[in-house]
Amino acid sequence: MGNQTYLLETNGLTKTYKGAKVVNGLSLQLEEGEIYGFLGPNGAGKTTTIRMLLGLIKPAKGRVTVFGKDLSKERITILKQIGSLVESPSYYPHLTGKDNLETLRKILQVPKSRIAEVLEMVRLTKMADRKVKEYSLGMKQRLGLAASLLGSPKLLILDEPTNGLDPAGMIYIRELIKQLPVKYGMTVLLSSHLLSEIDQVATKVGIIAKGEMIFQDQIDVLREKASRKLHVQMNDWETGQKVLSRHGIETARHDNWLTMPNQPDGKIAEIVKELVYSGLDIYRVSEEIASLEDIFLNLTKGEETL
Amino acid sequence: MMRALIQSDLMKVKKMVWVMMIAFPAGLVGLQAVNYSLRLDHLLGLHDDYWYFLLENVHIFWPTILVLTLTLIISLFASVEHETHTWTKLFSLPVNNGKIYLSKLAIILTVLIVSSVLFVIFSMILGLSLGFGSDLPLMAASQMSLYTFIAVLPFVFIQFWLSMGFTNQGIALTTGIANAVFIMYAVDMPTWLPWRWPLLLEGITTIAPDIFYGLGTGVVLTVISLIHLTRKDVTA
Amino acid sequence: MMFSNVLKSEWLKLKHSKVVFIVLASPVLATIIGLFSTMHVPEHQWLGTITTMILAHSAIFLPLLTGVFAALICRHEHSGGSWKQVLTLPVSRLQIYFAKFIVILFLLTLTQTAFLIATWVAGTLKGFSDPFPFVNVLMSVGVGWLACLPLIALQLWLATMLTSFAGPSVVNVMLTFPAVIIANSPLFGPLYPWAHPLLGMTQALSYSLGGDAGFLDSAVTFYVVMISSLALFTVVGSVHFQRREWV
Repeated sequence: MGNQTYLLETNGLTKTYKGAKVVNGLSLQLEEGEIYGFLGPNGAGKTTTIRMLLGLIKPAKGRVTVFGKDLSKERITILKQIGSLVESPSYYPHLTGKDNLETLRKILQVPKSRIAEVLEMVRLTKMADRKVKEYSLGMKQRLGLAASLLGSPKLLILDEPTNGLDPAGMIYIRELIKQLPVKYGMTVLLSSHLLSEIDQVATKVGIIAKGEMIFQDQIDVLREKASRKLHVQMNDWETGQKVLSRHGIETARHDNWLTMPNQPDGKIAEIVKELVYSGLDIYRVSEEIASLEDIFLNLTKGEETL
Repeated sequence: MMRALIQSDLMKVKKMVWVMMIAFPAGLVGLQAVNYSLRLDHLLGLHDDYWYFLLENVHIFWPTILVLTLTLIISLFASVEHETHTWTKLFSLPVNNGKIYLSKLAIILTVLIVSSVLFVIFSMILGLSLGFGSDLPLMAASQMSLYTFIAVLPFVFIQFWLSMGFTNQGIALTTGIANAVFIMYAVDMPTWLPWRWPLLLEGITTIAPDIFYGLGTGVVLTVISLIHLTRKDVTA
Repeated sequence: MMFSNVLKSEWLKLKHSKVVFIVLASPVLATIIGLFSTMHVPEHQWLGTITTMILAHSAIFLPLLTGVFAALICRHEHSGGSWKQVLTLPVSRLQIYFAKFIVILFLLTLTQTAFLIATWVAGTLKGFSDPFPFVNVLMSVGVGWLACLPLIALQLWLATMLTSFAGPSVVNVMLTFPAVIIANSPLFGPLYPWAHPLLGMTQALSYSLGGDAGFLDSAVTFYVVMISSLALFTVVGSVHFQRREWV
């Protein structure tokens, strides 16, 4: 990591419950202005990690550094600039939406007008004076999001923020999250068990499975990993294989199909030319693209997803 | 169906309920054990019939304890559903809404009866260990216990209605505690007030009108509260 | 400065929680009991009624009420899943714990004040013509308030620990009821915190009238037990709250 300073960084974060390592040696780096998608199947340790990032539970091993400060030492200073929404939304059912935010505002000491602002941001203005027990699940979730935005935090930590939202609500919230770094200079960490969700908003991805970080990089790198393959069908595969191995291309066979890693356009033209010159009949040439979902499934292979 | 409901409700009962069912009568009899051991001669000099006097003594606080027990037990039963927001789930089961409440009521009443029986047993053990002889006043003790149980029935249904009907258990608990305290001071009250009935002021083995008032009021309140609870909208 | 904000936030959460009903329950009940009271002290017109009311209020209701207040103040954090929200606010956990403590103290103050008024109402309705012994009842109410502090510390600990509303009250009933008997023992009474509200209120009343109700052999033991149990329950409760893992 050296000279680079991260907004949020964990080193070898480990949490043990009754002997089992729920989170194991997790190292996570988040830079300013990023939208970090924290991805993993249910039960992989996402929520446990997020609780550790917020100091709700203490790691058995490892360190959390936020804004360059040690969380175990300067929790309160750090929390001043963090907004969060963990798992199910938190609310006081007997109070109105506005009063719910007011209980937080009194502590956060932000101007009263901020309440109307965040309610507007999550489109709850019309429901502001109704008691939260009358809210739908999606509204409660949006109220939770409003609460996390209340203190104009530098870092926003959202655990499954689109839970319980209808499709329109999901799209709206996704767009809202996308704008946060641009409009307000916030950095966002959001978790999800759906790759498609992360794919649409995140700039960087971390994939966790069985408590361990198995991939962490820019989302484009993940997309590149989408390994392409080239399939060629011909009449005599044995000759074909020999010809291609002379050109340094190893192939696998399935019926009269030869499969090889994807090649640049020029190379493909060359391969086809060679095969034809060797007297072979080429029937079909096709390309296969693995989707992001396939990569995700591949990476988290063996993990139970239910 | 009722059986399945009761079995499912039994699984949800918190351990605290069983602890109270045993600990409250045991504690009350234990207090009298302390009382007797501290001033045995004085107490024996007060009445010729040692056994009957013992029953009267253990009975003094029994109505209050019983009302507190039922308040807490009912509140625990209700909290399980309120705090996990499972009422909606329960009422969407393919069962008559009334049966959902009846099942809970059946378990609550059974717990109270078992507690009453234990109270009789513990009292007998105390008398035996104080050397009052093996001529156990089982009949008198059972009457005392049964009459008190019947006389507190109105409180069972008030608490049931408050605890199940309102999410805020503070109201139910405060009312229950208030009733329990009130009973201790109800000696001078007019006969028609329910707080007086469980005190069995006509004698702990006498079938007084108070007991029938308790039974009648209890039945009327059950019907009213069940009708109200089953008809109201389920919101949480 | 910061702490007062946490307090205000806690206070706001009590809105619509029907807490007034609970605050006024015991004073109203005591008034009814006072009206029916036949206890009469020849030299002092007010004394009989006030004593009956104090006994009813302090023996059981007051100690049990501390449990109800404590549970009420933690109720929505448990059921609405708000602990995690409250605890990720930039305030220390201790501040949150003590804000809750102080709100309970405030509710207790309201109850005691209402009780003071209730004694006056009961006597006035009974047509007492002597002047109302305000200072004496005030002393009694004040000492009763102090005597509840250890119980509040314990109940708050239980309420933050147990998720069930009735849970803390069950423990409270189990510990309060023996107090009625234990208070009668001059030796054990002062040692048992649950007997303290009763002992404190009766003793303070009679002491202020120049008498001695005879409940207390040793006022020193009473205060030592009160302060040490308050310290013990507060430290254990707040340390537990601070260290706890919020999963």
